[in-house]
Amino acid sequence: MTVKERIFFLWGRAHIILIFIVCADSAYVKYCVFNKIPQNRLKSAASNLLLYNRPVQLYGKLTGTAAGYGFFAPNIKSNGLIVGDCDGQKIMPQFKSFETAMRFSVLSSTINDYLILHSDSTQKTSALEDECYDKIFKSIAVKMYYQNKCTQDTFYTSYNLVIFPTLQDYPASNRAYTLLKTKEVRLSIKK
Amino acid sequence: MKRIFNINYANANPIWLAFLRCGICFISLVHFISIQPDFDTLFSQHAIVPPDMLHVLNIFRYQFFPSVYDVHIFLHQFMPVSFEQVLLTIRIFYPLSLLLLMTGLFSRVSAILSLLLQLTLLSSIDAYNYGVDVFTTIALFYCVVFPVGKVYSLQNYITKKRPLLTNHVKYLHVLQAHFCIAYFFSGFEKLLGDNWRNGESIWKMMHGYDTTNIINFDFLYNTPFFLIIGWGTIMLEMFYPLFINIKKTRKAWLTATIIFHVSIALFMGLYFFSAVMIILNLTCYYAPFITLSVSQKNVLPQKIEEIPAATY
Repeated sequence: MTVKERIFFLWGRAHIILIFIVCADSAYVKYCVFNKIPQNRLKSAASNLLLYNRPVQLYGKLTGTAAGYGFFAPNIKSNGLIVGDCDGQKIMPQFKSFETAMRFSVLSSTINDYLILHSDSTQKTSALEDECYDKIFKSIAVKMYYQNKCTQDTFYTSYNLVIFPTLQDYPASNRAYTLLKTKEVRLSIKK
Repeated sequence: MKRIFNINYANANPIWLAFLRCGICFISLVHFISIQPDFDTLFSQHAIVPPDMLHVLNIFRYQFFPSVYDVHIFLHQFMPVSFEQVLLTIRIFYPLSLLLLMTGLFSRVSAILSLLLQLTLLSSIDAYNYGVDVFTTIALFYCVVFPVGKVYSLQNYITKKRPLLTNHVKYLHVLQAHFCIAYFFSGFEKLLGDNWRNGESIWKMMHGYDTTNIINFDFLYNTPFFLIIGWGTIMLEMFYPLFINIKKTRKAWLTATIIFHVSIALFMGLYFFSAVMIILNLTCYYAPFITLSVSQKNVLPQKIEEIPAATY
């Protein structure tokens, strides 16, 4: 075995072990969050030491191994939707490509996740983070206002979860989509 | 045990290296082109969420990789360059590096460049990212590490060389192991919740806001259809590492996995994610088992045992 091959042999094994540990950690964290149970302290300390440090995170970012691969798990969440009120009409941000609209729905869901976390009094979010999100809300509102050529002085944007009756409720329900508002942003535009 | 798995890698076809290189570059290029009409809405200073705000958000989301904004701040210390100029440079060089990698010109350098530029672009819109981005990063990273330019590359054609390729199977095994772990945990995490086990997730997935429901299955609400699909997804993913590595079940499991990803594309609108996953599945478990004609074999790199003893 040449030196190059030996390096590859060692790196390959370390790389696969890291992927396994990251995935196992992700599954455990998701399980605890989903069932609202506290994480084992020893395990948390170990994963903070091993995984959540700058070199490992940077390596993870470069190799696509920074986080687990449990997409849409443990449960599929409701989609987030940003809706504006323009001269009495419901509007949404407009995009030319389907892919960008898809990406924007990821952002909407990220914001809604944050809002839901924020509404949970047991979870702490920093004032700086709140301010950052507040600026993002305003930026999206302004963009939607100008994109849709709205004329009113006060513009409302709401952050919503798209709710469809569950499989169990479907036979008895009205079988229509509803929006569950998580936040409303009021924007005053002086002309 | 050996009899059960019984997959012979001794004659594995190195064409999988070219398949990985060309497949991932092609999909990444089409993906990049698809966002061009809204490129400014996502990345520029006039974006729906401006880069400085996303930069602050990245700090809260523990994202360390430099974004276009960071690159601009860094370069601005040395030269009077605007944000838009930095963005335009990356916008031009990313597809160029992908093109170079796809054709197999300066493969290692173009793979490094593609990976770094892809990550820079992704870090700039971290809050907008989803599964396809992670798997593209993974594939591009393996293009950096593996000798992907040694098979069916323009560089080999120009230099008229048949480069020496020793044991490409070790690279294949790393890629296969990565995907087996990814699929297993993807299935396992679904098992932890309740709505994949009772069919609710499939129902919810088909009624998401951005789904592209090509066929309406609502009339099946009082049948076990959604339950079966939910459990089917869990089983397919959790047992992927086992059945994809057994010779007798490999083709069936690969076909089922591809059907699963085609369904994700059709029902969830995740076209690029599905395309990347199909390419990676074919790279791992289809391309290495393709049998080539003699003329096709002549373009492939030489194995050590093919070289006449006199040339040692």
